[in-house]
Amino acid sequence: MSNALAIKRISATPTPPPTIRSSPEYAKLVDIARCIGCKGCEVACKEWNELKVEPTVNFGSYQSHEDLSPDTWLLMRFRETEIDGNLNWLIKKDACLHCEEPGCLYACPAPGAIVQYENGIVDFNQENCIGCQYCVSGCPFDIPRFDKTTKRVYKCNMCIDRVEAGLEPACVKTCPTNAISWGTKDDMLALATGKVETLKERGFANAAVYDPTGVGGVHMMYVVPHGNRLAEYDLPEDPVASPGPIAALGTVKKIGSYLFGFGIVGALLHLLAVGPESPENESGVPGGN
Amino acid sequence: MRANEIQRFTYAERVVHWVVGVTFVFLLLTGLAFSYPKLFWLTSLVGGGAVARVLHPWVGIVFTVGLVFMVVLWIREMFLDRHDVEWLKAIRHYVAHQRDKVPPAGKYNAGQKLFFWVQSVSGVVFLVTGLLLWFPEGFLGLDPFGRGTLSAMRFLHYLATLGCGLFLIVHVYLGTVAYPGTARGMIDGKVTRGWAKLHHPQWHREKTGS
Amino acid sequence: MTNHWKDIKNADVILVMGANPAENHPCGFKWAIEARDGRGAKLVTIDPRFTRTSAVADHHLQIRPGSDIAILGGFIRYMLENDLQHDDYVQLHTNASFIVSRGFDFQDGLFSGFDQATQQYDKQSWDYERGPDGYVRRDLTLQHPRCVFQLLKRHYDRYTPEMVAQIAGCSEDDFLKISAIICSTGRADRVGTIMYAVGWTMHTVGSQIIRTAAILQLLLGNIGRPGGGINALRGHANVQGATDHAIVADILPGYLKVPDPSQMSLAQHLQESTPRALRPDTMNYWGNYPKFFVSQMKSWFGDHASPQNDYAYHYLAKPPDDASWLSIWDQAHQGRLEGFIALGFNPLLAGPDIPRLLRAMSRLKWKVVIDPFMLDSAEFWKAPGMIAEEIETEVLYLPATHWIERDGSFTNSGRWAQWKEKAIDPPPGVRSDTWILSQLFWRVKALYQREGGAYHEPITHLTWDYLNPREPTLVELAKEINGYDLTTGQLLSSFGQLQADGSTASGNWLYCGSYTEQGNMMARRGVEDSTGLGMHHDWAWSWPLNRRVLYNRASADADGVPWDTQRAGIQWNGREWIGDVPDYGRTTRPDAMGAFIMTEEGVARLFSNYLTDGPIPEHYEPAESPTANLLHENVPVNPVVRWYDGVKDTLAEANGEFPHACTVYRVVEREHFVTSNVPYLVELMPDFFVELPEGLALEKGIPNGGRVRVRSKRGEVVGTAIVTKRIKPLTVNGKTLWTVGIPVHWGFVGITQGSMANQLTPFIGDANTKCPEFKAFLVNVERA
Repeated sequence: MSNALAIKRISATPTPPPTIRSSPEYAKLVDIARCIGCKGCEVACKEWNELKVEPTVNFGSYQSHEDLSPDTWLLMRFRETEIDGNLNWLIKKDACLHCEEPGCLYACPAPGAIVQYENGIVDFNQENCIGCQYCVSGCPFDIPRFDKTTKRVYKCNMCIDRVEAGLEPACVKTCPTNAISWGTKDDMLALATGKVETLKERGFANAAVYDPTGVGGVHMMYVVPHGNRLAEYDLPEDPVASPGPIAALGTVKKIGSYLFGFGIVGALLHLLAVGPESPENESGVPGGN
Repeated sequence: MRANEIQRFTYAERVVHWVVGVTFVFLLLTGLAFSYPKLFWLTSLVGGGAVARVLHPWVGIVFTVGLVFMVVLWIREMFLDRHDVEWLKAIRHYVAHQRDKVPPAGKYNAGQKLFFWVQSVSGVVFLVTGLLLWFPEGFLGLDPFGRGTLSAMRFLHYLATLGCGLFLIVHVYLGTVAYPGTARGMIDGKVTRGWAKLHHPQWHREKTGS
Repeated sequence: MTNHWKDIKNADVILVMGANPAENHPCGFKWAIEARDGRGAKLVTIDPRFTRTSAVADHHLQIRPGSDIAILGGFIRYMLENDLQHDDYVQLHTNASFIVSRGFDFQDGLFSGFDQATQQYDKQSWDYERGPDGYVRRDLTLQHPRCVFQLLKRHYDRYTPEMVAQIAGCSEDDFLKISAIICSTGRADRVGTIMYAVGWTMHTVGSQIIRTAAILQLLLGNIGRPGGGINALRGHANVQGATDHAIVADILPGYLKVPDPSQMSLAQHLQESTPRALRPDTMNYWGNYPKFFVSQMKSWFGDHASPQNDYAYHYLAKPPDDASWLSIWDQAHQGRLEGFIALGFNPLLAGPDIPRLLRAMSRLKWKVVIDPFMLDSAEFWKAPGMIAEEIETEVLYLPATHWIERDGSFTNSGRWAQWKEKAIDPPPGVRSDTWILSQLFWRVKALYQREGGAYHEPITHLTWDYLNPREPTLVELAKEINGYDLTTGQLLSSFGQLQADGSTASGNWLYCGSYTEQGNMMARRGVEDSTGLGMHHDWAWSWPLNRRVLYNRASADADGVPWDTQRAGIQWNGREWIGDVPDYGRTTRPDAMGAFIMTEEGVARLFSNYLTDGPIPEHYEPAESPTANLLHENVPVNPVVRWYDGVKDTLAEANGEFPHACTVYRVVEREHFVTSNVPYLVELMPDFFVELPEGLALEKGIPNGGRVRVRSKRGEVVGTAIVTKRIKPLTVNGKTLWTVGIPVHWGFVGITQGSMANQLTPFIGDANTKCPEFKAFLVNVERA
């Protein structure tokens, strides 16, 4: 957990965050229309974060790994698809979106295992993680990955150490075509709007910014050329921070806490009202009488 | 055995009871720690959150095994009959200690039988949902409902906990301070005739013929 | 590149053909995207595959490997047919008006002067018609039937959309759609650029493909202009630098000529190598050839190069045969090559027809591999199928520093020589290239001095004047390459100062001005951009003379007014040229002479007799082609390619056992063979694969991710199938044709091993450069 950054939320910690500092909100903007799928960001991510090499096998794709993993926080996903009769080779940077309403953090039972900073970064602190993986099921984008050896969950931390030092994340720094931009959320939204206009001029009538409101907006936004075909990019149409069962669980837990309380208090009151009940002619104490 | 004592539980029954009982309390406390941030400190009793997360499912396995034995041992005695329905109808008198208005209970009253069934059914729920929650990565891929499945498992797991937990409060209360002499049945297996006559008159009659 | 990387952003149309810059030049490619997004440029890819470049392009046209000239010729026809050329430019800046001699002809695939016996052209008839003054006759109305413009028009008249579609396999409609975009820049206010790479050079007609592109760009008026040009994308950080310093065997540094055995004196060599002006108003800068050549001799042999010994001219080898890649290994194959030194590359994987190459290597007596990594070439006896006991070749491996462990310069594709610093120390025991080569030099010299020799002077008289003669620094070499005034001892600042009287020395005239008395120009890091066009004259140094766009005089009209004032290359302000460093005299009046000062015509050549295989490019089929040549059935293949010993038997016939077209390429995750040793990069692209079109995979029952075997007449590879929609079936000459794609990065050394793509490729090359035809051949595929 960074002590230098203003904290917004801490997992399993209902008390207010221990800071009064404020910070501008930052965001990454991934312009899918500029991305050439070179995977430079994948390597930059691994190098900066000193992540392990995973021996991979070509599975019939340009994609390096079939899925994200504890050692691969960023994955370029490749998909060939025909849209309106035209062949498209969709290449999407898959990594944590750093939601404003982080489903992972809400699902996490371990105090301090997940921290959201005022700057928008949602960071996992493995020293506080208990390995329950509730965050995995809490994430609407299927990002966190559990490591079987360390029994902890890992994901992109937006290069928080770089950001803390005033630098952009490693993936942004390395991108050769400037497909990834970095700045305040407001600036990135403005940039994204301009990019969408450019795309529309280029004939992408459905170009859109991906900044879903269901999770309060994200801090890795996308400019999506085919904004009406989000599924093709593996982007959920309408992600929510807490799915139905989690919301229901919250309610039931609240009711449950009262019931447990009533149960214990009720038993006490009952004891005081009617007292213990023993056989009349026996002490009831083994060995007695 | 003294003349005023009756054997209520066998050695095997007592062992099984305490295996299930102790593991359940462990599971309940660690489970509550996972459910309520304010109770997360409970995990420090077993060595911290990560240890609790590792132990909880393993203890759950012991609990499940114990529960299986318990079911095998007791299931024949736990079916509710018409008599039990009468007993349940009179439960407010039972609570108020108005013995004369409560139909005489057998070895187990309807409340105990219900507790048994709640535990048994919950045991199945705990096992199924618990396994999924134990290895979520193994089930994410099979997830037919999207990421809702694991959340639903958490919901069901909690519901079962709530049911069993509330019964446990009643069970412990009645078995200790409310009905002195009860706990002994689960320690050396014996109860007094007076206790039996008071709490389980029908069973007392069957055992003593009086 | 005629232009440079950042200049791509100034284009209105970007044609990417024979290249895949998103894959192989991702950093430079940003400027293409910048043009696309910044100024609404149209980005077009033409390729046998839908590539990662196509993924961000506006339009993609899939063609058959080896049909490039048909496509480009089709564009030329479309342009001339629809009158879309930039007339003023063509008339002013090209040889369109030059009249060609009466004897010139083109019939049934052969130009005039073809000698069946030698399979070579006598180029006499490919000349211009001279007037009584000895200069070339012109017709500025471009109407003369033998003027270059009319010849071009007639030549490409056969390249109708129907014909192009039949040859290339694309649809006529798609071809016409792309034609309209490419030919939309023949106007003063629009500029188009072409990005190409080895997808063009690696053909039996490679040089002619590039010529066709040059003709296209000249007709559209796009050469010399910011945002225009014809831009070769080089495959490594310093391929341009290596080329400038004569990595290929038929030139000396600075594109000077290797002496011919018939040139018995320096005077004869200079006389035959120095062109004479063909028009009166011509700078003919190559007229300075003697200055460049003599200065080079002075740089190499110092005081031993004097007028008395023809400036050491006789120390130079005068090889009777070309020493191109194919010819060297052909000699080795015949057992006539004793040894081979591989310095900084992996010859086994880099050449075509690996089975043949392995036989050739096994016949060497010795082989030295100098490289940071233990390459496949250093262990070639371990190649699959080799029997180590039967190989007598002695192989020495000398670990050398990687460029990251040295300072020095890289010359990028845009001719910018950029000085870099050493980043890390080399591992213990690893020596620099200069240390190794110095050792070699001193030991050979010592042997000559001790034992004597038949002709020792080229070695014993070689200048080796460095502070530490056992390991010259790269700064010393850079200064030596730049050159000195031998009278004053001062570093020169321009090749304009070079003299043919032995008073100047310069290792490479093109780099004269790169390291001056003002310091190392290549190390400059000024980011100012006075032109606003991304020229950055204070950043590093660009040859020649820090000029950022070659032929930039052509960016302006007859009066020196830029065709497009928004994108002015240079402009005449009445007294001098301002803007880029002018490719012209700084104060030379606009009408004083032709814009193309390097040519003896003074203008650009639409018609040129410099190549061996024709003055106007013509479509010939690849040596291994799936179809007859629809333009001239009797001359299917470039008639003057060199057929090496036994190669004809290793080529498949059309419609035979090997029905599918195949091409090879690199992927962005790997850099040739070096990155086989980089774990993070191997992780990104672990295994050798084969790209198969969906329909073909279905037909052969090969699932995506399954194993596939690809066979050519020369060898086979086995790899993981990537079944893709990105390669469509083509209809070539009325028949369905499938194309298969294969990456080159694997061998039997490295973190992961895989088949070597060059097991499949044919041992034949371009008629001019001998560059092997890696890019178009025939295969069959089956489930493995």
